[in-house]
Amino acid sequence: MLLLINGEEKDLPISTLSELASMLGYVGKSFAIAVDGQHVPQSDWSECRLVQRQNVLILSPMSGG
Amino acid sequence: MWNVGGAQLQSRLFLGTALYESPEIMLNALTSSSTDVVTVSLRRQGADVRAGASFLNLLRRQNVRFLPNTAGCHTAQEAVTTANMAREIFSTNWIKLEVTGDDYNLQPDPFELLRATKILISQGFEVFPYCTSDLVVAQRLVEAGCKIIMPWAAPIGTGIGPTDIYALEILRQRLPDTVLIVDAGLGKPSHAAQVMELGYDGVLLNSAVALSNDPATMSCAFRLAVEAGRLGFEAGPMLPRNTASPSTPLIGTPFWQQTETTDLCK
Repeated sequence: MLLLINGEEKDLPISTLSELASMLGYVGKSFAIAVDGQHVPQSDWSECRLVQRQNVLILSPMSGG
Repeated sequence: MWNVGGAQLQSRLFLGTALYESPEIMLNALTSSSTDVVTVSLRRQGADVRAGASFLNLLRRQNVRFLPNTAGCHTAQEAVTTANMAREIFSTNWIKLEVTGDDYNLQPDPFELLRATKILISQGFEVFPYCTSDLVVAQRLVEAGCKIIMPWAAPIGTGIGPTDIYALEILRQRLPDTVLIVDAGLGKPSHAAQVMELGYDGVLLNSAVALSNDPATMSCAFRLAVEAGRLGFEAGPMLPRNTASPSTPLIGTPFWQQTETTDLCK
């Protein structure tokens, strides 16, 4: 499936958000994901089915002012 | 102790976690500031999946509250999405709401800020809106449900100190029941003391400490300035006068003179 992940096109053999997170190694509590501009809580990742060319934003903590 | 966003805090100084030369320097600055609240942010996850987690773990050991920001957002929708992602990661409903309207001086967009505020409050967030010192914008934010307002003293990172002390003073007078925290633009401890003397409830800093030659010492200086400014406000400063008035009683002055004004003119 072709997805736009953090601005980069990636073709991955996945169908749900939990599969995507697992494949990319994004497990644990330090990541949050939005699909097409909408936040998807971690509790909903397994039920969130992705479709072609969706825009996936993955954010993690960093320093800030 | 004072109350903000449902939390009892000891310190009135909030400190940012960015721009330090190393994590160790940042931690030393946080410790010497005695801050209870640190600002944090989110970034696009890169290849190193451990970087964000280690940063978070480092701060968790400091026993501080997180105030995540929405830096880099230019629309209400971006800010709302980022706020929700921050709530999940940092496990807090506090959000320092930043919606940039102008990239040159990083001036907040008041219209998108207000839109985002309304949405986030309906979603249960405690919104700390970063805004200019415009009274009407602040009033609209309060009407939308904000209990805290964070006006700038000057644009982020300038360190020039309060550019419009009159506007800050009016905000304090007109919003007596709102928590007011000056955010951005302060460069010296005296700037912090100045706004605290107006009755502001707190100060949020980052660049002034992180970009100083000695962040740990500077954060200590800001801590003392914030405390001094607050004490000065609580003590109630004397009213300014246009004429001199001797502080030493005149009764019993050793060399009493009774020079008439007319004599001086001779």
